Amino acid sequence: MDKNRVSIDQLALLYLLLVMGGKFLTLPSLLAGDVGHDSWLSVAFSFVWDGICLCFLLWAIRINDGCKMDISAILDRSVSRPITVALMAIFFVIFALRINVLLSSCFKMFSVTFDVSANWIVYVLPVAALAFFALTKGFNAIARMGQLLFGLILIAVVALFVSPFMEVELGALLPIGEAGWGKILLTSYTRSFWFSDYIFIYFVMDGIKIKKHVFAPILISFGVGALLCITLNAVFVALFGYLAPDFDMAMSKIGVFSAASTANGRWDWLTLSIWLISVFIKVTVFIFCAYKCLEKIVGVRFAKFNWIAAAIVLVTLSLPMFVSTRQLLDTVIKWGVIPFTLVQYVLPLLMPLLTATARRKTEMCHE
Amino acid sequence: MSNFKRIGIVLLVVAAVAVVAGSFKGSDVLDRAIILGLGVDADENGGIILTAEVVSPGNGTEQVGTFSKNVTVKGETINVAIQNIAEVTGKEASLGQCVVLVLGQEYYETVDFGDLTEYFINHHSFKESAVICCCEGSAREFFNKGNALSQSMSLAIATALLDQAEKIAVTNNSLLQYARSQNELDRSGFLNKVSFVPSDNKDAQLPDKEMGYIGYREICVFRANRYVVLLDEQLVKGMSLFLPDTDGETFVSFEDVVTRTVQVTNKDVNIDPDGKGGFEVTIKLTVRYGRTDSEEVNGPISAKGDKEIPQVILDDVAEQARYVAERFLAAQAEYNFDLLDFHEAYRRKQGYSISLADKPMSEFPVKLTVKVDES
Repeated sequence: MDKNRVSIDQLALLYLLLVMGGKFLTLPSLLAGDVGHDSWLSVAFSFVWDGICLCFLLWAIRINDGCKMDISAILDRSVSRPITVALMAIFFVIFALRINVLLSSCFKMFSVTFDVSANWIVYVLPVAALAFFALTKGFNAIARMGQLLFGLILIAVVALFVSPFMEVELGALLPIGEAGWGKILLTSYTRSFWFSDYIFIYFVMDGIKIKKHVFAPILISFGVGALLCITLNAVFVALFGYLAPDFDMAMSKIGVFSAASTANGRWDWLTLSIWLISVFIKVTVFIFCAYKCLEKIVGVRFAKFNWIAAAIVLVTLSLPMFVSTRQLLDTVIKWGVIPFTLVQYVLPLLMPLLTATARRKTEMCHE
Repeated sequence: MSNFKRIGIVLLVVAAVAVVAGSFKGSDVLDRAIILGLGVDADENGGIILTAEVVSPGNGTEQVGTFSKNVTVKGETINVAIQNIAEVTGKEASLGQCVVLVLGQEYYETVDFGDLTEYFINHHSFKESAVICCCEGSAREFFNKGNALSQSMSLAIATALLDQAEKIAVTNNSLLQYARSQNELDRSGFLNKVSFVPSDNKDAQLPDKEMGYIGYREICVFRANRYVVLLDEQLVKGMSLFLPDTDGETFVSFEDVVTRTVQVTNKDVNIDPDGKGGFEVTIKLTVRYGRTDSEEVNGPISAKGDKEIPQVILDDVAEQARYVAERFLAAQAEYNFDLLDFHEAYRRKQGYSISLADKPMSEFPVKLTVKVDES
């Protein structure tokens, strides 16, 4: 049995975890700094683009049904090998950066919110160990992990939301579009690095087990995730107003704002810890994808666990030891959005065409 | 896989877990001074005097269970003062459970305490939802009245302001709401004023023990973290009429020779910009006769039950409500503070502008309508 096989339902649950994991750390404060109380609109626009691209990607999955071609096979057969390598290199950079930004944000959250200090290497090693263990077990193991923890994480997220949502005055978001629609749209693009979580699907395309529905389960997950993220951003800026750009750990700040819990301890810390599991699942998925990128770049399918590829991924995890997240955001990520657009937003739109082209050139596809 | 390999892997994992676990430096709860509440007073040298109510878990050598004690330290800044708590207690100060921040009278009346609120609002552990208030006299003396309450002063304040205040027509504020009010639009906001009210001691066992309760029916108004004015009980009552989330306002009226207490049970408030720079405010109060144990009852005991309230009393209550509401509006205009978010209402319609933020309250004409119905 292929250990990378994943059902559509598993993929949908995992996708929802990925959408929720990571967007409640530094992103809300960055958006609030850019467009103030209109940041939720930027998030909404980003999800609109994501939704369109996701539909095209799912269409490509439907076309790929019976062929089981992976992303590099599709690109090799439809375009050319050098383009495949170039795209995989871009993917690798995106995954490496996203892993590092997520991990460093969590690291900061641990040290400032929970007052637990450790050095970066000691912090990263257990995460890497978990991810590499998952790699040896295949993507199915990651999907199963997401499936098992999904309910718990969703309850934690909802628990974190409820109190502030009941208390916040959403009228504070008026007037809508005060920052200017052009600026809101531009912010949606410049902060696109945090979105398009569907890019992991490229690397499991060959293992997706399709039964009846492809679109519905994943689009429902996407819709729920998008709604939660937009709501959180709206609540965050409405609650914190002018302070929102300064609060770079949105989830740890938003959970605390409950009058009911003020004299009843810090249960928000418990729910926050549970939610953080989704961030580590996201990191694990992205490490899997980064590893797969290397596999596609060298053009060899690693039969067993490849220590060299794993070591390269591990080395990239040391990036925050030399460059701060702020520096990454102001340099590489700021300018990287342009090449990243290629794989985040252009490639998905072309995927049905590319998959159909590759399919025509493949003889072993089952109708 | 051979047994040797299996044993080797297990040993490796155990060693790795030990190394990793040992590298995370947390801190033992017994090494932390868990602070429940903080009181800030002005120091004559320009610094601050910080009083902390510290809870210490029993650890065998101390009292069993949990108890709190007050420690007082000085510091040039709040940061230094909090660090100095460690000197006095021998433990690292932990602010994650702090529920209340009390400002002493001399401090809030004379000092611009923007840096203090900024410190706590940016503190990663301190809860933005914590209560911030000011007190009569010094915060240090106020915290030392905890014995008279027979409970933690910090928790008593938090309970009073968070759970009880809105039921007796007193609004309250969190650190976050206060910090925002001092930095957004017209930069005015309020803090509840708490005071220790002595009461008679009828305890034969402890006849000399001081007893009392916390009073919190007054409000201090601030602009840009500078003290503006104190709102007395009547003005606070007037303010609460505009706030749909508070209820419990009581009015005393007369029916022939019987004194009747009427209590607000529900409220519908509409504060609508009229498009000409002013507001049309409609307050609809739903009232019922107060219970026999209601406050503000003078003379004969007021009625209890489902008795219909005569129109003459409803009209009288409407008149009284209008009077206190207009008094509050007049105070807003006179001292130029905005606790009803008039500026915010126009911002939501027109967007932010400097001219709006600077607009004095006297330039917001208000057309007030008060209606009273029986529940």
